[in-house]
Amino acid sequence: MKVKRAAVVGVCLFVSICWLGAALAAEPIKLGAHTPQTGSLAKHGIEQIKGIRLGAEQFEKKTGIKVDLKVYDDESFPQKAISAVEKLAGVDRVDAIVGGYGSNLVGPASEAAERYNTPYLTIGAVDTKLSAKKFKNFFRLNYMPGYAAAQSGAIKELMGVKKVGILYNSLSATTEIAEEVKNQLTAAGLEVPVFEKFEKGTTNFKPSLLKLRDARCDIVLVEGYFADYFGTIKDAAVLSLPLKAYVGAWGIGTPEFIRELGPMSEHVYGTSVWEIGTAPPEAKKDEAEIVATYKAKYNEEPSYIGMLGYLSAKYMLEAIQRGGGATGTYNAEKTRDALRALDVISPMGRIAFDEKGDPKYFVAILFQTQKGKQVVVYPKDRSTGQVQYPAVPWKKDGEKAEVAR
Amino acid sequence: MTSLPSIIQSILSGLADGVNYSLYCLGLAFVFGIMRIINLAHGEFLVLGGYVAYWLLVIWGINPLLAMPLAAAAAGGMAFLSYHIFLQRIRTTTELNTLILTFGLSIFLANFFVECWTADIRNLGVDWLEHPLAFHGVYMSVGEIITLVISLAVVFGLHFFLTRSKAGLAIRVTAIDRDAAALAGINVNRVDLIAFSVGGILAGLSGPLLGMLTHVNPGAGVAITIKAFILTVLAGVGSVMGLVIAGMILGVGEALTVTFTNASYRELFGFTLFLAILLIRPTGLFGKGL
Repeated sequence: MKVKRAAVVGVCLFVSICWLGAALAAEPIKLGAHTPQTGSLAKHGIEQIKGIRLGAEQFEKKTGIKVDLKVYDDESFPQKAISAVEKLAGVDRVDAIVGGYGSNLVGPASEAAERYNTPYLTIGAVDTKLSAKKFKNFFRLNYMPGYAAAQSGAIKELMGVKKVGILYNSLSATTEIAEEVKNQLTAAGLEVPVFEKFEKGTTNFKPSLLKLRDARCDIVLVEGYFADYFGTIKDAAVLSLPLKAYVGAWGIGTPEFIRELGPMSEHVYGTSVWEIGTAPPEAKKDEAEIVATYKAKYNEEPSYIGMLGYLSAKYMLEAIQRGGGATGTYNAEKTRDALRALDVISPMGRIAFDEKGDPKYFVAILFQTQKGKQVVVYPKDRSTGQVQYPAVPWKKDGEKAEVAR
Repeated sequence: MTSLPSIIQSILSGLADGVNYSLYCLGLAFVFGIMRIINLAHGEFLVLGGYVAYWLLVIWGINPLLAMPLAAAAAGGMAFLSYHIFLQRIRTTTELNTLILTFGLSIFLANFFVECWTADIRNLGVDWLEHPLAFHGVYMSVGEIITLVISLAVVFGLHFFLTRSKAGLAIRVTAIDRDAAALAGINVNRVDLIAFSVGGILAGLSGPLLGMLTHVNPGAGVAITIKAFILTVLAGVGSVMGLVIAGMILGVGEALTVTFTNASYRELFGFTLFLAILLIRPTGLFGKGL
């Protein structure tokens, strides 16, 4: 009788433990995301959120842990980004936040995340000042010095020019990279006779470009965004500017850029953190898997922003899991510790964070569009082809860029 | 040191920009002049025209210049529906209501564009239109010259429509005194509907030209509306030809500001001029009753 009773109690206890375990295991991870899905930065924000959604789905598949992903559109406005973070952290009570695009949006948004003691991992804010406050919750996968080094390094090593003209968008990230590149170039003995700031939304670049012609610059460096490249390339073409190279910063040479500008996208240089086929050998398998699943889901290849979005979701979710997010014992400090302990070789290279949340090993790549493809030309150890120089988009193939001034 | 050819080139590009500004702003100025409605969705009507032309270019390879009538019809149709369904109902209430309603309409349209065409920037460039022509070291593309001619033609066309046709006369009378116009047998509600639709048509005509010279994207409308508003104030209500001159002043002023100072002062020039005109001559440079 006693044995029977003990068996019944044992079974009940076992069932209870199983039920409790299942209940705890069923606890979803609550991940928040804000990106600009409308407004001037919508293009980048939409790419980013695609990557984040895929990252969350893949995490669910691999771990069996459900992810409750809350997404808000910050409409490309800083105040909306703050509201989004406040709602995610204060109302939705998410475990952590990913997303954000543009240093002017991520700056105030990350301050809000700090107030709510919520870990915040971004991919779209490269301004070095953002990490100067040493917020304990702030982490990012890329930042400005890695981009500036790729541009100035290529100009010095591949192009061997004397005079560089720099036009830059007045937004904080583009201003900072312009100043950093200028410092690096002048330190190397190059002249920067034109260093011109323009406002967001500028459409007539001719007066600025004429300054390059008057100063006899060899190449133009445009630190801007998609629309700025459009305007400068079109206007440079009308003026038939006698330059040897056109170098851009972010968002140039993407498939959309090539689709819209066609032959006028040829020979432009741009920075990136990743392009298909540029992953280190250790991460080639991961890269192929991510690209395949992305293509299966969205019927298109991921841009580098899509890849960064994916990686941000992946690493944050893994950190939340280590922080107890899936077992009902979530601890933000443990999540931050997990992020600080991260040291992996990813498709965009080695990822580890320093004490300010900046990526310790981040190095951008510089590519050139050649026949509609992005060919990585710098640094040489990651290059996927030979540089074509001198060449600018507004000169036909075979035509020398150098013309009589 | 700025060279003389560069100064001449800057002035030329400013003149071309200015004439285009006047075309971009024509619809807003027209509607404001006739109906006293500040149409904050004006830029979006223009962008809609640009997207229609983009579609025709991508799907059927139709040149954006040939797509202008359809672009104008689409934007005019949208304006007609907007007025008929929404604006007409609140037309008699406080003026602020129309401002808020058109603002809402602009947000709706911008998001509608994102849904239809994604947030990507779209280019309406055609090879031969982008071909540069040189005149003694000064350059202009074929597309810029054609756009300049079309812009001037549309502005002059509207001027002659308003000053030489019966319908234009009816619109002008309604703008000056609605009650008197109604007593004279003019259907003022119909005039309002036509005027708002014509505003949309004028915006739609500009869309393909905008896409050819620069690009279209869902958020492009806001900047156009602001620029159009500045130009309307500069020119003064009721002067179609004044718009062209004000546009040229703005365009050349902006270009020379960049040439002699810095590109970051370009917008400052426009807004300073805007404030100065408001202070010195609140009716605008060429302002008068229609």
